[in-house]
Amino acid sequence: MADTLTLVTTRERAIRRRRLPVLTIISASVLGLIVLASVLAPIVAPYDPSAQSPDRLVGPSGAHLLGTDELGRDLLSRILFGGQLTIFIALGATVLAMLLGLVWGMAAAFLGGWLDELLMRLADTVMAIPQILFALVFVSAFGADPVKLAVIVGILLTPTTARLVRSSVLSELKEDYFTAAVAFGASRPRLVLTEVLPNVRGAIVVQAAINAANAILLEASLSFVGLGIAPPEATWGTLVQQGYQKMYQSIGYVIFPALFIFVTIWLLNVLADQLGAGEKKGVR
Amino acid sequence: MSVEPVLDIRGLTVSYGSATPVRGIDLQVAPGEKLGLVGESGSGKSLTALSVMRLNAGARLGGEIRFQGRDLLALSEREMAKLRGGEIAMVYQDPMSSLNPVLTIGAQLIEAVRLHDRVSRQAAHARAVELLTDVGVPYPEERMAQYPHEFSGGMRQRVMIAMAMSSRPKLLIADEPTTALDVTTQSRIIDLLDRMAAEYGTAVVLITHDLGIAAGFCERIQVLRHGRTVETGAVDDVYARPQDPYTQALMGAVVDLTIDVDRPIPTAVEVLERGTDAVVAESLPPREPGDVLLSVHDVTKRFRLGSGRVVTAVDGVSFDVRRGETFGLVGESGSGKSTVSKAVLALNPIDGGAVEFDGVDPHRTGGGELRQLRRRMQMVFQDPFSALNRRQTVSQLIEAPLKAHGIGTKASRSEKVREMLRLVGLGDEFAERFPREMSGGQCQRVSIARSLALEPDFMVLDESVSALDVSIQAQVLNLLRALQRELGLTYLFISHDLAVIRYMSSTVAVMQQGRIVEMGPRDDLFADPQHEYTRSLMTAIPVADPAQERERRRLAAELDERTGASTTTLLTKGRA
Repeated sequence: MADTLTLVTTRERAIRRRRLPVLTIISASVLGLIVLASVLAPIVAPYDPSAQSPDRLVGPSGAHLLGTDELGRDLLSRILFGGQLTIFIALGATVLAMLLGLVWGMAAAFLGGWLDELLMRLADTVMAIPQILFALVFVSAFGADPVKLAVIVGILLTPTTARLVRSSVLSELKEDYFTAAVAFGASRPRLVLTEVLPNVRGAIVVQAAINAANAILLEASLSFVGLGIAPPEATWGTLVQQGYQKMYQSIGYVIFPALFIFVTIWLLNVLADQLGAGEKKGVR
Repeated sequence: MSVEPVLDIRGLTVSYGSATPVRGIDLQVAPGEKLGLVGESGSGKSLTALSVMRLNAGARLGGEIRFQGRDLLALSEREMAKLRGGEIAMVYQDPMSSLNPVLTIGAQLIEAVRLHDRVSRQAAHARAVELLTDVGVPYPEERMAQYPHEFSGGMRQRVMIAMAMSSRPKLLIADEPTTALDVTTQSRIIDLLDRMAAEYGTAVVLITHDLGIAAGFCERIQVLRHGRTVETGAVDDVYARPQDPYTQALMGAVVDLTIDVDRPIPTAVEVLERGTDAVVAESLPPREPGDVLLSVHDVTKRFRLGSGRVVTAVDGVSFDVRRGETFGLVGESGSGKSTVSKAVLALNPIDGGAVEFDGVDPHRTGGGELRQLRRRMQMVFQDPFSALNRRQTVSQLIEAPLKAHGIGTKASRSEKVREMLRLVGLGDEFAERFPREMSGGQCQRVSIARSLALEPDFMVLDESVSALDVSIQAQVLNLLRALQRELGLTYLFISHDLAVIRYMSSTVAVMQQGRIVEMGPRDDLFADPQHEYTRSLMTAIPVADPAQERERRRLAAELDERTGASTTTLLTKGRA
């Protein structure tokens, strides 16, 4: 009976795989647009982000689509250029978290025993430290430039990634195909790379999307408490923090950068959900 | 039919999206009648049953289902909910997932009783105890306070039956109620269903793939295939004179204790589908077994449970397997047979004893030497889907062992893949398929092809045909025997199915609770079983012949009575 049901879903899955869900396409393209606009900021931004004008803290108008800041700089241009740094930090942090988390989680799952215990308790410990406190110590010790911020955010995201990788790998190790590979004499690297890794790839991709969203949020939080990039450079987070101080003069100053953060994180989460659902359907 | 049927299904169709697994089934059940719905996986038997309960979510139902004259497809969800577990009850294959793990058995039974009888808690409690007594649960009063996990599989199924019977239903649908149970428990559950149905005058639809069980229990059977009815009739007629070629094929492929072990099983299904000549039932010349290839000496394996309790899964097991023979290891779930198989291949460490494979103990070697040894010993698993990496194509799967040992070039390996596929009877077109694009039987063939790629001397077949349908099981068994003759393989064949073990093995060992209780040449052991457990296993196997099966059940019940495992004596002894 199960066979019939599997057959049905196999067919549906085949269709689904050829045609990506509309929601995935929409969220991926809007996200792509935001990233592209930031990367191409020198070309698409209407103004030099540091060029000042006499129109200070004005609202949206034809000349300044999203208005200006306290020095009369064009907000849209500041957001697009700020996006470059934000994306750099988010991307760097995600890559770092994925690499460290993958090694950490895989090591725990494959080694097992007391090493597994040690690695996981270590992850618990890192997670137990308040993130802002951790960042505060780090930033006061080493300062805050984009690379350092990416590293610190990456480290903060590593333990959850390691846990996810470990639990995904453990459930694969219980499958007979793994035992079969041990039984036909596959070497350790073969077991890890060709047998198990392709099966946890989906879960890892989903986690990467979630990590990117969390990285943007973390960076914004750090900026908000004053641990972000120093002016004149800006990220979306520092723009929100500056806009917040001028909230009563110009509400747009805080709203627009916040909106960029909100939309980007929301889209990343939608994408993660979609990828996760597709992953579940894609396999049996 | 002179009386009005309890259940009257006309032209039922069930479809999901563009697929229609049930394509027009007619089915009638008279009051108190016992109907067997048999067929292989994908035949639509469970979907038909679920449609009666209207429990197949997401499906479009067509046709008509009348229960005591009421059109079930026209009822509101509320009215339907009142019928379910009321006048229509259902018992499922897996009793664990049908019971709530966080509520006591008593609480769940009382709830079931009060759902349909407006009685006080005390009265419901008394009724629940009475029901448990009826279904043969020992110490019913005490066991009311226990949770599902404290019950064995057989006991849980008894509880499910008690629950189903609590409302005195007019119709009981039992969907593979004994498939997850050991053979010795299986007969008792079927006896119980029989007794309860008679007592309450309930009509029963028994869904099963086991033609033996259907033979002894049902009055009438209906054979399904690909969502259509192939044949229906009185059980004695259909078994004695099956009219449809598919039914004939199905009957022919059954492996029970009466089949001729020297001939291939007639897999007429293949003939049906391919339209070639009838299967040539040539006799298989017995192979002369050679010297001892594998020696298991006093192997012991203990598992430490979370609570610190130690369970001895395998307790001093010793046996020798000679080159070219099939050594059969039979036992019920939890007897330790799979632990033995993992110990033989050194996939798990052992706590005592020794294994010797062609002079080498795999437990006392390691690294490269062990990997070289693994080339010569392979394993085929029970669940073919779990045993194949779902991200790899068939050719990658079969190639993997060769790559792992750095054997051959890309070209020679792909030639080997094609050769292996041919060997297990699959065409080249399978090479690029993924496991999910194949049936269970095809996956099992790929699994066998993979284990043969390294040209091993020895294979462990751990319940390798248990998950397969009757006709496919026959094909795989024939294939395994043909391969053994052609390649001179040695098998350690592990199964819970005594009939399959008898067909495959030259030497048989019976395992119970981690020990071998009886061992000997196949013919001797089956002609004159010495141990009481072997005898009870043998009498527990259903025979696909209605008259013989009814007689077997009568004898089994007598044996139960004498050995103290019957329902009545259970009350005092507490065995499952």
